[in-house]
Amino acid sequence: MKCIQCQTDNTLKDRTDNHGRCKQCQHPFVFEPTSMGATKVTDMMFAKAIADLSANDTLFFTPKQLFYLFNKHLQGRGMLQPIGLLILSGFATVFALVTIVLPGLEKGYWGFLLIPIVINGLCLWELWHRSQSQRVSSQERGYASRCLQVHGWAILVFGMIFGLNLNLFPFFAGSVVVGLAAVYWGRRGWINRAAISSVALLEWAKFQEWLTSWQTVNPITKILEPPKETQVALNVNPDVTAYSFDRLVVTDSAAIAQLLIANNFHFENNCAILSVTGYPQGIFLTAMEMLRRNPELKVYAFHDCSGKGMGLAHHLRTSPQWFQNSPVEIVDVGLLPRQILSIPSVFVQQSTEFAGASKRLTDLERRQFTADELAWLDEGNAVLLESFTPQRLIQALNRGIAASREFLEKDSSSGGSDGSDSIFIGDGGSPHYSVESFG
Amino acid sequence: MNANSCKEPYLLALGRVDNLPNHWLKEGNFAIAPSTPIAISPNQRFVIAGTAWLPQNKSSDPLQWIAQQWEQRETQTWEEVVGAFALAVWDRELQTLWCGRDRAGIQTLYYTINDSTHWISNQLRALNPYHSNQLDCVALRDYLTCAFVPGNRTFWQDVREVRPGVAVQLPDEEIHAYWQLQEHVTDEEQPLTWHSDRLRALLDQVVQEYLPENQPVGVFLSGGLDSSGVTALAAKFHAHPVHTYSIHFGKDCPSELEFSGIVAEHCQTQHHIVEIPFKTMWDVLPETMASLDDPIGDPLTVPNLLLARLAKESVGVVLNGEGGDPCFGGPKNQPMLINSLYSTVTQQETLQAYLISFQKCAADLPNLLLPDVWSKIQVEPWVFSDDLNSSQRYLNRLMALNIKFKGADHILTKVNNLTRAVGIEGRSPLFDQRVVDLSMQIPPEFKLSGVQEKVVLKQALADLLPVAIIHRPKSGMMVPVQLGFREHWNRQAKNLLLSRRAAIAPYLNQSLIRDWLNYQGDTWNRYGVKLWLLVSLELWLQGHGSGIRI
Repeated sequence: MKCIQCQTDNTLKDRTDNHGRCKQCQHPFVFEPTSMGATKVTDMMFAKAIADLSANDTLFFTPKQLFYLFNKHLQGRGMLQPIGLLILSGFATVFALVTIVLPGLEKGYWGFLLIPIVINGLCLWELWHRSQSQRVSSQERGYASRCLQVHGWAILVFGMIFGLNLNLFPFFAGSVVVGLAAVYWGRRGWINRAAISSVALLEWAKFQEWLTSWQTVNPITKILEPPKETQVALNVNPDVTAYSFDRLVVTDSAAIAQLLIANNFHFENNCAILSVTGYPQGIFLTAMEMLRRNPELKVYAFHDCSGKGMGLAHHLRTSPQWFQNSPVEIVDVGLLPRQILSIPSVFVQQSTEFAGASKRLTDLERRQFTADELAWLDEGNAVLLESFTPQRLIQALNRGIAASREFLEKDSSSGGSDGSDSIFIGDGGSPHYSVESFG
Repeated sequence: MNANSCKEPYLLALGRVDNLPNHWLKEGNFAIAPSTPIAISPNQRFVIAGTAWLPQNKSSDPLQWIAQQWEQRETQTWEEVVGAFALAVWDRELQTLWCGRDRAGIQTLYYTINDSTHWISNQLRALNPYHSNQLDCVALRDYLTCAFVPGNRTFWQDVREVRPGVAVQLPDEEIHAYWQLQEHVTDEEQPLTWHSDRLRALLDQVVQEYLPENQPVGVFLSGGLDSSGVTALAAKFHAHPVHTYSIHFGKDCPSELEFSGIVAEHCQTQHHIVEIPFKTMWDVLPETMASLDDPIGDPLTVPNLLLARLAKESVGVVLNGEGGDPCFGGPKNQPMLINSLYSTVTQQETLQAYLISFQKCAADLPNLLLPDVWSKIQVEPWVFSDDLNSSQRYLNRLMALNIKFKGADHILTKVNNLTRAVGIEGRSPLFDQRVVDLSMQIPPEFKLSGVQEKVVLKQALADLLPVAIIHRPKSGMMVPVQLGFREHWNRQAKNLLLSRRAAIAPYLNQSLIRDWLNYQGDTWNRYGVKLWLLVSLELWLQGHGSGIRI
């Protein structure tokens, strides 16, 4: 195991002899994978997760974001890839046919046919199981579903040919039934790959223990403390409060508002940021007072893909504490159920709380979703913004604001997509850069 | 001698001048290079050398006029002169030399000392033979942060710039600030229209003074409020043709042509549009950087040079709208206002926020500069601190910073250098010292009102411009550098910036630059502009300094 400080590789003996320290630089190791049970973590793995999440120590992140990232890393670890499974099964079948089954059939040992049937049956079972598993990522479920479809077609074609050549009608019919069933289940798995909720492979309490241990040895500069709920209004320079802002981003959680503010999103994008829960409390009322001065304010609702999140934009439009009876434009740039399918890897959670919030949505709010989307929400499924990296969230919000601005500028009454459907997909940004000094 | 039309630098020496060639004009320990414009006061005591353009005294030789004034008022003359100048005044009796620069910083003035001799010039390149090749690492840090070198530093450690509104007495290098940009809000009880009428009267006067006599005039027209206003005023007052010049980067890139076209049609100008292909942007960059005194890493340098070159075909004087943003509350201020509100939560210091607000490499400095360079300069103070912490009102503080530094060291220097490079004269009426002074008298709420920027300027120009321009959506000039480095210049930029022999190699972390060139982790879509900054720096160093040392 490598030391994160000097990169020296330390064997178990080295680590034991040095009382858990690096033999080269004496930097302590936090994790000892040999004594961690089923879920093994190394120091390098933890350090890499932090570096990835903070974009090499340039972005702040929340502990929950690190927790979700770890869960994603752990999903499917140690398993053979679906494509590998498929190839292995193919080789095994061909090998068995050539070396055992066909010579056996010539001698009249029909029972040998069970060998390829068992091999392919096991492979089908594993692929189907993976395509439905809550312990792997949606991306992995997608791969397994595709492989299941391919396997189904292969069984269908080769089974039919084999059955016809051997004049074995039961084998022919079985291949057709099993092949078609695999194709059907594969297709179904592909469609539902993101709708299946994920199980956290790591307990939150256990992760917090790890994090505490890590920080005692390797302090993390970019990790955020839980948002402070200061009730006292902070003093703001009266010179400043006379002005207003063009844009406001409202989040459905204090953690996401805190994350955006800590990463200077407000400063970089020239917009105020508040959470619907009233964060940051110290300046909340002052900021709202400033924002109400601009009748042309654009408000962007940035929320989880959950029953509660779906109601954020409506809440902002109708709540007297926000913009009831106000002419300001409110644009939904949050995560929507229809986007979930397009995102390669999401962490879907399920709870009765989410289901309750979804069922409490008004008819007007529910009207914007398809029946499938509503069913997914009503089942209590949700994808939280905190399950994405800070970089992904910043880029998605940037794209959402840019897309909706272009859309509003073109013609807000002409209908069509506002471009926000794809804001969580891809990593491209605006190809242009604006500078102000041209006379 | 006009302000910018003289392409050749002037050069003066104070100290050991005996060994200078005989065609230099020598007097005691003072010497003037042959091409330097001079005037002598009527009593023969004072010799004025340098360049000046005085809009209120166009009929007389500006140097001669200053020489006469100096004879009567001596150093008080600095306060009397209205216009653009970079001058040296040699007192034959006292054997002292004063070097002074105009208040807005329209013209540049540099000096260095070498072996007890001071060398003075209006162009940095003219001092190259007289200073060491030691690069100023603080200036490098500042350039990476702001895209220009603010304050009295230059990229060369031994060369200093005379600040705007400052006169330096040599050889003692005694600095005398004859003018300070200060908030002086007056008539606060008066309504917006009163202030806008006052501003309009001044703009009418200034633009008329800035127009050339008996010849056509050009205007760089972006389609924004400032350049459109200057175009409208020029069209109103000029009896000769008004040419306007606009740019775009091809049909696939957003442009402001819609707005500049509206203004050109409204003002009946002869409108010229230049398309700047990506290849041209790259090809012209070395020449552009060679034309600049200190490096400027703003992507509009190349368009500015190309426009100036086009303007040269039809005019000798070209106006621009530079100055509208710094003087009247342009877009740079809002992020700082937001930061001020949120700083109670983020604890981000105002200075750090101001540095980040340039949206260049402020946050990257510890990783971008090599450790030995970073350790040398990380605790060095920044020139912005005093103004940022002054007692003026917050918006005026920000505007003062923009005028003093971004105005003088970036915008005006760029205009000066690049119009001079093609042999025309660039004039910025909104940066006239009287406009600058008036802007600091206008209450801040009439500059930025709620979210409305430049309110007083919009009101002052309302009758001259179409409503579509006065109330157009906020926008900046779009320069597609992000697209440029992704699709057009990536290979060339890699060869230039990642080479072991690159001039930036002794100072900057090339592995980080490689990540930028590969667009790894571009959270804010800003790698393009950072790469442009670095490419500009590399080309400037290649063009200006051989054998540079830390």
